Amino acid sequence: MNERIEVKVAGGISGFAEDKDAAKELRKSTILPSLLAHDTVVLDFSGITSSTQSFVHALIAEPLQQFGESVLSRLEFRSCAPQIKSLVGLVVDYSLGGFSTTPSDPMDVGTRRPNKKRTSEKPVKVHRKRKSA
Amino acid sequence: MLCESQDMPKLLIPNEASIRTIRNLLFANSPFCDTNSPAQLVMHPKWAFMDPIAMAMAAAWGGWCQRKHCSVKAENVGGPSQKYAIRMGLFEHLNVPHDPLVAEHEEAGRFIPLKQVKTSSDLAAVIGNVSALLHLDKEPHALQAVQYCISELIRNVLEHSGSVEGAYVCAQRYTSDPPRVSIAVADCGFGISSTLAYSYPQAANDDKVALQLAMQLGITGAVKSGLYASATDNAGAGLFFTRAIAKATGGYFALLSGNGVFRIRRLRKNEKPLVYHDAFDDRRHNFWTLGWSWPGTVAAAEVLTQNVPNFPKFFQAIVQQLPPKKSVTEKIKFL
Repeated sequence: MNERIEVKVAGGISGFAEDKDAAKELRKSTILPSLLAHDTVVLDFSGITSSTQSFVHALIAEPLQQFGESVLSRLEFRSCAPQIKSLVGLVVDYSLGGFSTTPSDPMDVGTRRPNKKRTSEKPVKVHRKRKSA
Repeated sequence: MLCESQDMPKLLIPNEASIRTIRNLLFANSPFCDTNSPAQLVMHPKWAFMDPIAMAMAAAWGGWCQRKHCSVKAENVGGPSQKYAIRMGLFEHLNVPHDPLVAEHEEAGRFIPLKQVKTSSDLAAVIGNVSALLHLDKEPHALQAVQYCISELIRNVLEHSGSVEGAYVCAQRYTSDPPRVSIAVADCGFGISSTLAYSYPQAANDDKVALQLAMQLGITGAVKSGLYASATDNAGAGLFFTRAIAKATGGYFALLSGNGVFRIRRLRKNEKPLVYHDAFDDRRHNFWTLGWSWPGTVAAAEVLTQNVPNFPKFFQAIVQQLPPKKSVTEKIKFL
């Protein structure tokens, strides 16, 4: 019977996971052998608030390249912070097929945090006198 | 290209040596020289300001000098900025004698002093100190942006540079004009051209092409990968995302390798932060060709802390604007 293997992904201090060597070790020692044995692997990202694309790539790109899209039915991601979800989506997509074209249009990365709302002050009307003829 | 016009390695530091004025620093110098003569670090007599890019470059240059068995002698190290340089660890890394810091109340530092990073463990130690040393504990998005840039820039050195001395890194948080964290990582390894040449022959002996390629998404020296790597350990996205983070916050980004210097200047007010696949398409860029070569790579990025993007949204924005051949995102099982 195939097993369900829980893999805790270790984050660094302050919940930032960037140690590619650790990711590679986890991939080689646990993730790939488990998937080869037709087990289901659950990657548990609890406690990790952010990471690098390099880290997520080192963790999952090889299984995706080796097993293809079908591995997604046996590779699960638990407790992912929003930024981790974006990174996983990015790495999954380019690992399984790349991107259609070299992006030629610039990417708008204007995602700045909005400034605090100002207090609702009514605009001051300025009455201008008409120049007399 | 090692200098032939001087008989010793010599690094001149102008009175302002920053990412903004980096051109002055680079064009005033030809710091590498094929000799065993003692090297010279010459500070401007009234030197006042060195930001992380100058600090990291000076430290990496010092490491190169030591590898070449050139001791470093320094001139004009006194002055009002001496204490700062001592605290940053510059003279210690250069093995330059200096006055000990007098016992006095130290102001809150807000900097990561120069560190030599040779291993993943060294890098983890640097990353672990970012929050406390830069006082970013209450600014989680800025902290994540800074950690991201430091990690990717140093990993590039550890994995691709072949640098004997590893990477030299430092960072400084400025509270005004504008509030920002300036990060720099320097090495004296192979340089980008040599690293990419195996997979991209057009980068061989052409530092401009090498820099252009290195900043694109999916270009890595690790394997001949074409666009978007099939490599298991590298995807060639570290410099792309670091450049994008600097751009998203409106900060400077600079990359120097060989005789090529690339820089993106700060955003103007109300200017959209657009990240170009080819960094040379960015209207805010500069490129200079030096008359000498930096034997390795220097990378620097500014994170303007008031403009740090919402990190998840930032990555979501990038992902959404890179259309995949076939998106399988909906098949990913998030529990």
